[in-house]
Amino acid sequence: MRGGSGIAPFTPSLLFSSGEQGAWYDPSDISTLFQDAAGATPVTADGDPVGYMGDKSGNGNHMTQSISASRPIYKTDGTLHWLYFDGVDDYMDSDLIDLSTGTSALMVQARQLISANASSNISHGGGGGIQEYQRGNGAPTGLLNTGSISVVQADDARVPILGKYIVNIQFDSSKVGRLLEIDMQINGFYPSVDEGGAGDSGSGNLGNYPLSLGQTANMISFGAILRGGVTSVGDREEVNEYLAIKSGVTL
Amino acid sequence: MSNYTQRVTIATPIAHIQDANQLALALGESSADDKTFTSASYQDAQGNLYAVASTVAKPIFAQMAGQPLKAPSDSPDMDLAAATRAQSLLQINNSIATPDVIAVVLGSNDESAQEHIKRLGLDHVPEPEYKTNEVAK
Repeated sequence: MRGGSGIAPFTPSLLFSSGEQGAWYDPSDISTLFQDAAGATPVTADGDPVGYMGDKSGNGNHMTQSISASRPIYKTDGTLHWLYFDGVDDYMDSDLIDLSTGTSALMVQARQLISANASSNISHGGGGGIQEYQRGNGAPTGLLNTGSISVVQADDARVPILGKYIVNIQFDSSKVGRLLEIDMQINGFYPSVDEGGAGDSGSGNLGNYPLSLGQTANMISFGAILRGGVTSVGDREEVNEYLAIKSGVTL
Repeated sequence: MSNYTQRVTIATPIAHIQDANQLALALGESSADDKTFTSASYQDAQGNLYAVASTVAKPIFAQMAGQPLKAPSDSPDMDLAAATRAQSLLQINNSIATPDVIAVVLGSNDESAQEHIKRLGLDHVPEPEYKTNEVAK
């Protein structure tokens, strides 16, 4: 744990201090948001479209959306800040993020669905990599595919479909058994889950894919992190606490 | 306050997607706007298919949509004839979605795309109810 007397408070940038691959997106930092994909016109007000969201990890994995109608909207209530995805055609993509040298990655997003839909909330490689999605009336689901498919879906009264969640998943294809391959926390706890897929994701490495946010999701996002490698239990707790403040979630 | 004070939702019948993408290029803000309408994933009560786009817009949108079109500077070679064909089919706040018009709902930016789609008389083409042993795209 960080944050004691004389110790700098935690920020997600510390997760990348040794050159780890990945990305950190923070809609509360309006200086990282631009209306156009080229990053020329800054977002300045609630309701502006977002065509560019800067990566704060230091890796330069910025997200863009070049199609005007597919840009999410920056929203704020004066305290919290988020991107609103309309559930029709809004999404953002990064360029390729290469996680192909390893078997593990942390994927976290603080988000809330506004309406139930078939939604990929955050994905790196979609069904061929790692992602967190909800389908129809399904609850938050982690998917890992490094040769075959494993999924873990929340099945817990504490996790209704439209809740506001920090979904924090440590993926690791080198592990055996779905719950170890897809270690999914929601708002800091481990929900009861259903397990699905072929039974094991395979033990291959992760891929070299764009990271996507909000594809087909009617969702608000308070921030997201992707980090290659294994993240410690303590750092995952720090991430949950950090995003709880950003999203107004009570852990 | 944002200049994007309106939300516009557009239902393009599947037969007019190509022309509507040229119209989006003429009215939009990006040279990539010819990719605005992609999959026809919505349907009306008769099962006719539509590609839908929804976005926030500036108040000038309705005025621009009614004026003679010009190729934007970032897409000088766009197909103006196709865009004009699509423009002639526009019905703004005047029609539910039908196969012979491009129906548009224009409202304030606090309205949701889902409200607009309901006003257009459309539903998402049903997707299978996924279980944990099925695969997302």
